[in-house]
Amino acid sequence: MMNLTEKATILKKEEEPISRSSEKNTFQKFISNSFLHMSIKRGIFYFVVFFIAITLAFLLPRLVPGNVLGYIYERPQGTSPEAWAVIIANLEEYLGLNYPLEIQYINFLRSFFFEFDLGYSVLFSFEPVTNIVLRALPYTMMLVIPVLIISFFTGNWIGARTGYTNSKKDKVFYYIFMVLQTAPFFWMAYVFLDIFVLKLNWFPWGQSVPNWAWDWDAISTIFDHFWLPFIILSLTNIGGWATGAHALMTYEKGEDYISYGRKLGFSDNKLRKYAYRNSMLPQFTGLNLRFNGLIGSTLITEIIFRFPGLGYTMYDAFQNFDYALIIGSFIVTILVVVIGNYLIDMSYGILDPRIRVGGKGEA
Amino acid sequence: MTEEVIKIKDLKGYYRGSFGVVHAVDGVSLTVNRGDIIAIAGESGCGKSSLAELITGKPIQLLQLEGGQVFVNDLSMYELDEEFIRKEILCKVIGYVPQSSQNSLNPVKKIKALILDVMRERIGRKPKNEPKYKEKVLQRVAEHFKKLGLERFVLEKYPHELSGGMKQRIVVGISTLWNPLILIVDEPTSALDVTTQQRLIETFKHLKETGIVETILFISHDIPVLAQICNTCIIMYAGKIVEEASMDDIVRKPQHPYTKMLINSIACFNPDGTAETKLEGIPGRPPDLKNPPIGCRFYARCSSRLEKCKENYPPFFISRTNNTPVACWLYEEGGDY
Amino acid sequence: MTKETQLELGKNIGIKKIIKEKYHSAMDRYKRQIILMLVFTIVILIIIILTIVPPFNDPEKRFWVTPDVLLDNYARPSLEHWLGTDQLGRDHLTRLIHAVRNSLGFGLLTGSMCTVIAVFLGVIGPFKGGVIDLIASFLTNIALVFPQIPFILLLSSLLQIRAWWITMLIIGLFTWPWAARSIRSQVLTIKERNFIKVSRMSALKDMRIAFFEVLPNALPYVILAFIIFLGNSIVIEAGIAMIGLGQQNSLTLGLLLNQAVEWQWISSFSYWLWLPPGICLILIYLSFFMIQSSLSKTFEQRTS
Repeated sequence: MMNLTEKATILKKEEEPISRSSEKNTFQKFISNSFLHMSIKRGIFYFVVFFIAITLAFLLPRLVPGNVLGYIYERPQGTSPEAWAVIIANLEEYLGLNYPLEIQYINFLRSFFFEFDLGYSVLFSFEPVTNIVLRALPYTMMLVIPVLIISFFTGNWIGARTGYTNSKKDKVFYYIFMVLQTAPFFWMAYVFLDIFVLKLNWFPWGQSVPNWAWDWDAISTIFDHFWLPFIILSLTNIGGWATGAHALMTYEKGEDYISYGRKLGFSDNKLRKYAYRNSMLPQFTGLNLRFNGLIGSTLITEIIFRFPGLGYTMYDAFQNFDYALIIGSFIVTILVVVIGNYLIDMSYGILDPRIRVGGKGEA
Repeated sequence: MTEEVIKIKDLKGYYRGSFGVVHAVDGVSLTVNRGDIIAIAGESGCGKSSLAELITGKPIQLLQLEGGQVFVNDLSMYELDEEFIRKEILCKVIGYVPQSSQNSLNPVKKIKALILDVMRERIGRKPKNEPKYKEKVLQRVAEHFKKLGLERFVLEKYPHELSGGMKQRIVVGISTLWNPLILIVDEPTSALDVTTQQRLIETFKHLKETGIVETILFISHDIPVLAQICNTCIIMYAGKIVEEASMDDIVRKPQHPYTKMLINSIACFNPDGTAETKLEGIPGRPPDLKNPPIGCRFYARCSSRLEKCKENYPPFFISRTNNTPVACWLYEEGGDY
Repeated sequence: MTKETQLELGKNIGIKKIIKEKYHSAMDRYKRQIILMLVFTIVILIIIILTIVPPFNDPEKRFWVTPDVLLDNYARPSLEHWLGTDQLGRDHLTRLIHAVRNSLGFGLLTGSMCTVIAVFLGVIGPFKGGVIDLIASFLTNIALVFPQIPFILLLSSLLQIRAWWITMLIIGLFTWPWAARSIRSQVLTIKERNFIKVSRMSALKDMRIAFFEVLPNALPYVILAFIIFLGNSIVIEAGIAMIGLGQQNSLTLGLLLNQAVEWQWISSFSYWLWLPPGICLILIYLSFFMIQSSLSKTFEQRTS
């Protein structure tokens, strides 16, 4: 039976080479060959990127001129040199620093990939770094994801509107955001601090952000600290999307399918939707770069506002010479970037039929 | 039975922008009767496509209407409501096949989805009491496409999966879904190779024979291809009509000096492979349409120009050989020169 | 056509007329872009001239400290000190102009470094082909998704040295990839043109073709990339310096902002100290941005 049906499908394929994809069931149609191919390829690529990043994170502290762990070796006053040497030897044994570099590297990879062990933090009384970083991660994501989504949609909406209609009223918004985009966000952060915190007292000043808990006080305090960085990051990011969407829309509205649609009697609204959908695709490819940039600016904004995400954890660790924590938070940041990029690539593949369905015309 | 489908009276359309005013269409009058197959020919940049743009509804962007009227089925186009034009005139009276059909289909929509969108836009929401409305519509579309030689499976395809000739025929198919009274075809053959051109011309002939479209207005610079199908030809130069005659007369007995040169510049081969006449180009460049000359627009390039050509634009005279209108002072006395 | 008419036609076309026509048509088409470009170029020029002419280019820094040091600290803007003074009584305008000059110089160096890397990788790939092309494009792709600012944070915190060239290296090594990619695609299209094929047939060396025949044609894009790098590196430097991870030796806009944080100029309501550096930063970046965007619009229109 199997053979017969197979043969039948093969025969069918030979008869109608073009109508092949319509014969497949919906799942196969959705995940076509080219899509699967792309997802595997991108997956390997991002894994390589991640691997390079963690290798650098392993090597840099060990190769940087001037031993960064030097402060450990300084002998405290009042201890005898022999006793201190024993302590140092024990410490090196404990940290695994007495092995040759390649063994250290293998140990590092093994403990990272199989146990997700990033060492222990000096700053937080020898708590595992993994715990600290995982506690900080939600704060960063809390800023990054809403900012990304809101700036993407608002920016594109403004840019597309101004690009399609050319009305004066919309233009004002567009220019405001264009100038805001060029304003350095870290400076803007201080301007906002001055106006809204010091002059107007709308937001708290000089308090620490509490840990996440499911009660109203904690959540409202967290959100009090959340608004300012959120607003600043959104404001400075909208402009970039708006300028991009504006340029794409002015290009797209001169495309042939728009003028043909007009001749077919499409309403203006529908044509704008067409152009919007099509101009969105190139914007989506830009999402990768912007995501990377946004992660960076989020880290810096966190440092400025003392918002306890990954960036602030890193900065805090840096000020206290807590190297395990610096490298741990760096690795998790890279992980976030790589996974985010991979997800963006995949969703682009789903949105664009040219990748999803694949295939080319006969001529 | 002659019935005027489109009547254009002294139509003027200029491009206005930061670059100045370009007189693209400058006083064109013509009438298209039911059953005609007309070609509008001329060099590129003479205002052919702008004319088509002006006929098919209110022009947009830089091209602006400066005067004149277009009557479609005795309705004055520019006095109609925009919504009415959108729903009742386009596709139902005037079908339009664009210049570059290769990019005229929305790349992220299946052909099926595009057609359903067209239906929804023109008719409104689907009637509630009809259960299999979508299937019925698609069935009808498939039947229509079959007449053009398209299989049903093209409906399930995205544009990038189809070949150039197929896309062209799909565009023709979508434009003729409502059996329009007149089909305006803008540069149909410019991007196609010779065999595909031939197939496309066959398609148009087929459309005419099956009665889907009775009247076709071709806009092209490709006179040899159009000669196979058209019965009337209008020659445009620099935004104005210079000659109107039957296709045969234009090819065999051109009257206006410009037409003569145009016909002479077409490569023409005898069956034995030798060129019939020596190929001649037209010297000089077309006039700058930003500030067109007051007199005859062909003056600077004309080989047989007269003194008065420089100052006065010639009205139409009837040439004696063809008994057709020619805009040239040489025919003032109705004589041949 | 008779000979006379040909002569008559020929008379009309003179070289002067052609130039005039070209100028007018360019003015017609790109009027807005040209005006925008001129305006912002003038802004940049004014900034540069201000930082070069005396008394602000004073090498002995006489204007840094006013005679009455302790009486005049945190002075409000006045006729004597246009932008007031800081906590040590130094004239803020002088310091600001020094900072702008140093920042521009820094941007120039870093920008040219990025451009050189991008051009090298973008041009060498398509011309050498094979393994070198693979490596170049792989490097570009990796650097494109590589998170720059976390890495800059990591490096700045690991490296104990605070020198301007460290910051320059860090920025230079991580901001070039998008330009390398766009130059690469540009070079690929130019490579297919006929004049390159001709020069290949005439057995010129690959690298000679790449840098003497192709590169001049891709020059507009290189210039665009350079201008973007210039603005970006100034801003990134300011950001890194402001949170205290950048260089501490030469006075740049970033260091000025860093001092604004360190000395708590912001919470002490001395707006004349921390507003102007930011405004300068915006002005510089906006000018480069506008010049770049109007230039790219002009190039796009010209090719289409």
